Amino acid sequence: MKVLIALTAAIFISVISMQLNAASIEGVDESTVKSIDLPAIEVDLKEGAGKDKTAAFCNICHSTDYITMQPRFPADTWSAIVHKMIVVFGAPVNEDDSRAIINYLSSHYGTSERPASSEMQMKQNPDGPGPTGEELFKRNCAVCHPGGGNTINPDKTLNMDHLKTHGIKKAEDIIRIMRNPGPGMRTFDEYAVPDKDAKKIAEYILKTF
Amino acid sequence: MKDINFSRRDFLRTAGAVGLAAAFGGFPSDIFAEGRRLYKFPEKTDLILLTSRPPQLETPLHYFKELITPNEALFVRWHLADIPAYVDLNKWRLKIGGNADKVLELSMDDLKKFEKVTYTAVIQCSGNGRSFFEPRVPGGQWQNGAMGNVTWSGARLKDILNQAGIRAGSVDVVFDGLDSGPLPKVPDFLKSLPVDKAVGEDIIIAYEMNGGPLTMLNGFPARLVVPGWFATYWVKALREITVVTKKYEEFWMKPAYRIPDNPCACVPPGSKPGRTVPITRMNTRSLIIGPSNGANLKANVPVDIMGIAFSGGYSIKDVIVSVDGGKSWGESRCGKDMGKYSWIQWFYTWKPEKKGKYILMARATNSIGESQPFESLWNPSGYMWNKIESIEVNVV
Repeated sequence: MKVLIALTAAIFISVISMQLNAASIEGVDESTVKSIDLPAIEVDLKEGAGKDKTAAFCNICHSTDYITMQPRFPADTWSAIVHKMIVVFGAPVNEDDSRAIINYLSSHYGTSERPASSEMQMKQNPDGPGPTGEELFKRNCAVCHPGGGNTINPDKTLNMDHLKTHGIKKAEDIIRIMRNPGPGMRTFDEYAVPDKDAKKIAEYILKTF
Repeated sequence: MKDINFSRRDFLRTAGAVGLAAAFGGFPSDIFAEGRRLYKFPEKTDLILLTSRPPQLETPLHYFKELITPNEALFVRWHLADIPAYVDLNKWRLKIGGNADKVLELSMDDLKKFEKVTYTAVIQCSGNGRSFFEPRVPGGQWQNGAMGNVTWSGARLKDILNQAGIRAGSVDVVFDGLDSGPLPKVPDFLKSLPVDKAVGEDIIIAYEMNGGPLTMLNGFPARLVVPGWFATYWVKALREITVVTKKYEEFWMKPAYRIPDNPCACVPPGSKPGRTVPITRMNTRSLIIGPSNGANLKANVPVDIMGIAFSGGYSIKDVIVSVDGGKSWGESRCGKDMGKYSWIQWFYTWKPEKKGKYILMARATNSIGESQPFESLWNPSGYMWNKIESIEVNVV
């Protein structure tokens, strides 16, 4: 009888200790846990072309009240912001989508209600002259190279003398770096910047800074 | 209306906003303050909603009538969308390593075994007041509520680093929290302090705010407190501290959170700075909390103008007050001194005699003579706003 009681007790204790082990394996002890439920708050973006695309891409990383809380900005500020998201934060936005997003933001949250110039460019004849080197530079380069400077590495500006010390003398040298940059710079491949645009950018840099 | 000091101007702004909200199928009418939408997050009271993911929530000004900002009212600011919403202290460990003799993995109980240090310190976002910059700059559009005055308790960082044993050749100490970016390329939010600063007497790993555990949104279970310096260094929900032998210059130290390298940390409005340095110590600020902007006051009835003042680690020497738009100034009475990192309250009794509009201003000066400018100083990131504030009241 004593043996039976001892055995029962032993089984009982081992079951309890198994349960305790199970609890500690899961590691859930409510007294040591703090948890919260974060609310999902809807944001009403203004209706217009590019709204859905803007919401979809921006929402990958942040709610779109990041847009609605901003004051009205000129198109080049919105362009710089969108390119910062792509270059610095790795937003997976290609050139067409970024143009549509910048156009939406500058049309509906910009300093003028007119559609930004990039939409007109999109409607242009593809065989036409297209954007100028300056426009392409602003769109692609100015976020890190404002005024020909360099916000990431101040030792590598686009100033002609600076470029020469790094062996960059011709448009082809600049295009080579756009296609295969050093550390700190994003790659601008043929999809991001076609060859004819890359050439315009390179020529603009050489004649301007 | 919860706030009895809710002014007519507030009401008009709110009414306008509610009208708009109603027109666009918006929200009920009782969730606005200072013309902006309020929202209640977990462990928080109704705060001004800037963004929801990651959360950026601003404290309505009336909370600053109190010397200490309640935990539920303290502002919230995260950088990256994936923020900790679940922490189990049985599993959480604070790891200390890098150029040190030992790797430590401290539990909350371990952290509490170090000597407990308590003091009151202002916590303020670098971009507090950004929405006042002209020309306007991108970023969190804070008014004055990205700050608070909180009593922090925790273990000295120095004591923890000593237990780990910092080795010769250490340059920076790097702090990482539990938050992370939603895409692989998003730079993780890491901040660093020079090692000489990190071993300072007053820097703590805080596990209490105002005597209770940290709220989740303010950095549970433990955060860095660097009193006197802007809150960008006060890394929340700490996970790992690493001593490094090279200057740490990743994204959130460079190019983010930098100011022009000159005494005013400013450039001509709209222009770009040349050399920049990391933002560090807070500049001197004062704020008029009551009466509120646009308030109606009665002629020949004395009114107590009150406000707060603080500076980055130096006590406030005086706060002068003007009731005539800056033509003449009088000295205010300062309230209880809670130490050099806390804000002080100041009071100024005024009996307006004539009816009309009055511009009230306040200007603080700290113990080393640092004060506030009459004209705003501009920088492209919208940091360190400390222009002399002015509010308008009507005497009727």
